Amino acid sequence: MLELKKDASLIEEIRQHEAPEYFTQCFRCGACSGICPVEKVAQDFDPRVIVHALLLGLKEKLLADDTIWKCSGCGSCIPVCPMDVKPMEVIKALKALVAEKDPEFALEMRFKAGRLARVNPEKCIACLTCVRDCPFSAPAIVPDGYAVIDPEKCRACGICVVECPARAIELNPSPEMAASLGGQDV
Amino acid sequence: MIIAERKPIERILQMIEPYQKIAVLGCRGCVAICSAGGDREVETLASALRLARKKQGKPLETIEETYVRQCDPEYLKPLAELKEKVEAVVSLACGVGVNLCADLYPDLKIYPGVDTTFYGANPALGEWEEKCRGCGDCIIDLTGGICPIARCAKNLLNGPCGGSQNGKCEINPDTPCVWQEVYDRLKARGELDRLTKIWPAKNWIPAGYGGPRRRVRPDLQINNKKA
Ligand code: SF4
Ligand code: SF4
Ligand code: SF4
Ligand code: SF4
Ligand code: SF4
Repeated sequence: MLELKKDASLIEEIRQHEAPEYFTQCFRCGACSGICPVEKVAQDFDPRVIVHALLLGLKEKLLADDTIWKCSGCGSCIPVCPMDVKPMEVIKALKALVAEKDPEFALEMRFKAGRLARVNPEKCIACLTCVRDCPFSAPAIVPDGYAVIDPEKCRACGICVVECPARAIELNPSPEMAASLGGQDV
Repeated sequence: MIIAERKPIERILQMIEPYQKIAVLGCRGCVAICSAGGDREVETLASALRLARKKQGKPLETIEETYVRQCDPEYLKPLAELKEKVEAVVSLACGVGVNLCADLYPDLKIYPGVDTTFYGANPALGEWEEKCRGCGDCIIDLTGGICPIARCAKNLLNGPCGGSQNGKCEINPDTPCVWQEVYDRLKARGELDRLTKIWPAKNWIPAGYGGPRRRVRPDLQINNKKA
């Protein structure tokens, strides 16, 4: 039988990371899951399950897994929740906790989930296209002569990926993108 | 940098008409930076060619490659193997790259996929402007850093001509009169007297007299490992 390690300290830790005030009030109605667009396309993603797992203290599962990184941050779940849990904010706080403990791992997870674009310095020709066309001014050319994307600013829109003439920018398909492309190559 | 422009697809289709399998070969130098011949353009050209040929009922197979540069023999080494896999190569490098490929591999059927147009700057995304003609005897110390040879429609060295209208060139109302710009610049720098002096005739020999130009640095050649 699957044994789940519980750790109640998680709730306290999350409070330190700007978790919304009433997140412990969730009564698992599932309104958030019903509206969440990512829940429709990513089998293992469900905001209700994430909030529930947090309240149960399933720390290891929540923090080490790639699931929470699939949230697109669209915020659809916030207005529908009758208990004002703000699942999106809860997930954001969980991510902040991971990022504080292991920033590299957090970036890797974001990249894996298709929520962050990354430049391959070996291929970048420093042409400035991404610097000039990113709507969020995320890429910049570093003194070594290649582009680096600021994770704080990147919203994984994919514009730079399409425009980069050297095909140097990598962005995994997000769950929504993967679903809309069906079986096609991405 | 060198600016180039992809040739019309019909032209490229004509060149590769006899072949069933070709390579489209990009370059990550100037032509990639000016969005004419990098990885992205290789991808789009190759698929456009395949589509067009499929429509003609003569399907085409393509191999897509992009080298770091096509103007250095070292980077062209993998072409020795690539050329054995295809009947012809369409290179999206500037003319320099295509020439060097042809020099190095005389048995290779290589075709240019771009027109090499000018030396230019990239003031904004998607815009390139000619700034220099590589005349080999730079005189822009006299003109406030602005080149009348590249930027005057008549290449005048004693402009502006009578066609300069409100700071614009008569050949195109969107083109600034470079001589007006030179005048304004020198005036702002307090150097207008430059224009009243007689300049010595420009030396056009370095512009191309005596065939293809060469530049040699004997001090660097000493350590040359190339046989
Ligand atoms: S909508 Fe609110 S109360 Fe309902 S399951 Fe989601 S978080 Fe819990
Ligand atoms: S914010 Fe995240 S959890 Fe909420 S609906 Fe959007 S994707 Fe789902
Ligand atoms: S993916 Fe979008 S937001 Fe991110 S760097 Fe590229 S253009 Fe900017
Ligand atoms: S668009 Fe691509 S090649 Fe150009 S600077 Fe950005 S990452 Fe580098
Ligand atoms: S004078 Fe000659 S070398 Fe100088 S900028 Fe003009 S064309 Fe180029």
